[in-house]
Amino acid sequence: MKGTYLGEFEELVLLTTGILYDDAYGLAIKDELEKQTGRSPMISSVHKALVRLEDKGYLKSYMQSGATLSRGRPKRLYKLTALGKRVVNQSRELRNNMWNAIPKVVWSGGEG
Amino acid sequence: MNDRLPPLWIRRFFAWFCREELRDTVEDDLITLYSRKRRNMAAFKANIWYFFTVLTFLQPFALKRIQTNHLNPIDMFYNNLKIGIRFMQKHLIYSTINVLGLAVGLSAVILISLFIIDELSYDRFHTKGENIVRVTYKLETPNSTRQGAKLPFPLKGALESNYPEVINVARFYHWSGDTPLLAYGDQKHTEDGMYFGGLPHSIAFRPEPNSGL
Repeated sequence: MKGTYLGEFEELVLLTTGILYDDAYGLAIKDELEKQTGRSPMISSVHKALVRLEDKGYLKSYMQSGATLSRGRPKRLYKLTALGKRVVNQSRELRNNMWNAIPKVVWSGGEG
Repeated sequence: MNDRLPPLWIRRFFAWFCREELRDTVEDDLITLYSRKRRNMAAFKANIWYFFTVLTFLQPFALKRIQTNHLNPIDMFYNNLKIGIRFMQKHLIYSTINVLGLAVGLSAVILISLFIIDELSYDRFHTKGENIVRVTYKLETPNSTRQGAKLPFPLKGALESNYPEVINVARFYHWSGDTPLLAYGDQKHTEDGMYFGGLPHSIAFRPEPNSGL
């Protein structure tokens, strides 16, 4: 394992996979990311992140049973693993802790 | 719907390099994106877009895994290497002595070989090189010992008349003064590292500059 280090884009992909829940595949994730963040990632970047996250064990891919794409091929879907959920949570906790550690005076603009 | 499909050759190219597990899923995504493009784009432009998007998949994560033959000897070699390293870590002193001893021995052999090869490289060009001997002197005084090959001129006569086994004596003298001007006919030029030689005809002679010979 390479530790629980998570890139920014990888974290976004993980979160998007969570949002889409049972319909998370490459293009859907790209569209959702576009909607959420306003930037449009390359489809290859999305797939690369998915492969990397699966290698790290944060995502798990499975072939959709029954329903297929218009071209008659089974769809490969992704879902968060327990480890993936924990990693996203850790990331949020880290951010929250660091947010809380910032003194109030910073926000009130006291420093000028 | 069929006219909305990207050119076959690009799709074949993609199928050629892409990994089996990813190929169908990625291509479905690509074709969906392509047909979206086609709604407000000329076929030509969309094809170019498709081609470059396919090119962005030329990355290690999407490429076919190269089949490596797991030959038994290779696996065995790695296993032996691992066992060797573990053994050395476990028996550190023993291994250090072992490796250092081997290094010292090997370097001694290499240095001795270099010396012997150099010594045997002299007079190879001569058919009777075995019989050519270099005369040196060793001068021991109470304070120091000097060694060299600078010998007096009359030694040639003394060697030839007193020692029957000496057939010929060659002597030469290194000009250590200023660079001399040499003249032959109407050619004149300077020459570094000049030797005066008194050589019997039977000995071909090749002095090397600065060899101290």
